[in-house]
Amino acid sequence: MPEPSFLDLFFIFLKTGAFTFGGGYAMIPLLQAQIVPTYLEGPEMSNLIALAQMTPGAVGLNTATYVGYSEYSFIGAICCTLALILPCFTVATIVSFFKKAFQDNKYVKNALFGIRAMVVGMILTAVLSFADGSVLTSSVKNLWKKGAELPSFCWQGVVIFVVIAIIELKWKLNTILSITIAGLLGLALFSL
Amino acid sequence: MLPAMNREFVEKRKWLTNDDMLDTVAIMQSLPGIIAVNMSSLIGSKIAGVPGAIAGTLGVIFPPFVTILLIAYCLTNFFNTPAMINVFKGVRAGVCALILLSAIQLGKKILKGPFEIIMAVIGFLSLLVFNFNVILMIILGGLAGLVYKALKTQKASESQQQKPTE
Repeated sequence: MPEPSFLDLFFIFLKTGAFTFGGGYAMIPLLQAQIVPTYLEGPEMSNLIALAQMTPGAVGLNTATYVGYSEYSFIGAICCTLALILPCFTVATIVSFFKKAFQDNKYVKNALFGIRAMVVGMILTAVLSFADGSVLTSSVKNLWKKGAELPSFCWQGVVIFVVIAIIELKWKLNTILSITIAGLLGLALFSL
Repeated sequence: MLPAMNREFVEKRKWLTNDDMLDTVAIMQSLPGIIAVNMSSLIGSKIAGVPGAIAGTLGVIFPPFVTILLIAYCLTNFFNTPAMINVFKGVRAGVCALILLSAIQLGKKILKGPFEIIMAVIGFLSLLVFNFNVILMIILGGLAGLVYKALKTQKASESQQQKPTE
């Protein structure tokens, strides 16, 4: 697995910060598409993102800090985080001076209309990448790769998936709590 | 985060009016990137110009940044133990469920017509099957939205012009 150059990593986060619309989970497929499988394996990247969700703060920010730290230590963490926020910070500051032009701008609205719809589909691919190695034994992408092992279901992952889904639908627990429960279940079930 | 900012900036310190806050919330959802950073840049800029925006943004990212560095520093040694590997398998399964539910909720809000559904399918396939450049896809999505809405308003004004002769 080639190591990303510092500049590569910087631009990955810069682009992500510039083209994520819809906040929150929308950033996840963008990051995964750029980093997997070139620099990190699917499950590895998913672990980092999951860790980023468990810690307070925006998942995108946290992921930038983690990935930056894991590749280039402290300086990597700072630069990747700054790369991520530079575009939105710049645009937001500029827009604050031209609010009238931006508010109710129909071109902005229409462009976002298209992007938001596309992002819903992209977030679904993120769902599948988290399933790799947890709910499924390997990546869904193996289905159309010649000679690769076909994914099958992992009962432990399926159980945890269903349990967390039910908990979320019925009680809407704090995300960090839900993920902690999932982790403990994982420790218990996958060790069997 | 919003009620906290409201309390602090509008009620306690009176640096912003209620209308200012409402404007800010409306705009920041249309901006790229992280909502928290957009909010702090917009509000910081309103209160104290560019230095305010910088101060606000650095303030917002500082606590999670420090927390994560600490956690990353401490946890790196434990990541590869068999126990942690299983913990993370469970975590990924859980996150899988959480994101799916969130995507379904988002879908209900956004996918209201055939155009939206087609865009979602394109987004899905482009990443999963075809590995297209994701940034390019987002740009195309924006363009598609512009073209589609432009065509729709054109059709609507054409049929309005035809009505008087019917």
